[in-house]
Amino acid sequence: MEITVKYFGIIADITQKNEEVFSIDENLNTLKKMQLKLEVNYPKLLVIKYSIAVNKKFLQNDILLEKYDEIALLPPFAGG
Amino acid sequence: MTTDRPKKTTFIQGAISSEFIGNSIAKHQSKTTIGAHNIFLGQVRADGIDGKTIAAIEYSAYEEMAEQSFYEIREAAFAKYNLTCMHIYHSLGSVKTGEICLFVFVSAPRRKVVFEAIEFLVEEIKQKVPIFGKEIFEDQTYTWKKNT
Repeated sequence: MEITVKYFGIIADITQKNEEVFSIDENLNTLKKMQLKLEVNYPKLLVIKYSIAVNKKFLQNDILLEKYDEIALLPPFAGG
Repeated sequence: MTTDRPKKTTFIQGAISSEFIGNSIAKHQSKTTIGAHNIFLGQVRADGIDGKTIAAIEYSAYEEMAEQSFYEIREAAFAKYNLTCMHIYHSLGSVKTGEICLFVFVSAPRRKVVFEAIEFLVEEIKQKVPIFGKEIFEDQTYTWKKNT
């Protein structure tokens, strides 16, 4: 099972890519585990502010990841 | 909330021209129940940061989510205020200082709601829509804009 993580703004600068596909297994099957993995891969995420959307909705709580989920890491908004 | 109003595309590539804004106003002359329009224009400001001056902002967005956010904001405004129509346009890509990056246009039979509605819309857009701005300095270095 694979899911896509999208990066925007300063976060795409940190990861040096706009998106990345991850294989999901029991070690990486929740949003919290994914966030932890991303913060290990990209330690600079720990020092910036960002929010997380799953399938275009903001989530505060942990969830089980499902096939075709789309996660997005969103830095502070700057519209207008 | 659902209505039969179609989802619109909000993003425009590059700056929003005076001509586009003028045409948009002209198109409303046939809607004679309208008695009041109000317009907000966001312009890119030449801020100075650490001795350097901004020359342009390069906008990007999580477009699918942003269009959904714009749709929800529009629906909320229609539910809250007695508006005849509403248009929101935001730039993507590079917009130079002095150019327009946001155009919000509301129309109603009477004037009071258009003042309230425009403020509501602009504040909601700044807070809730996943748009990102790279502030490019005159020397081509950059920083990331944050709404305050």
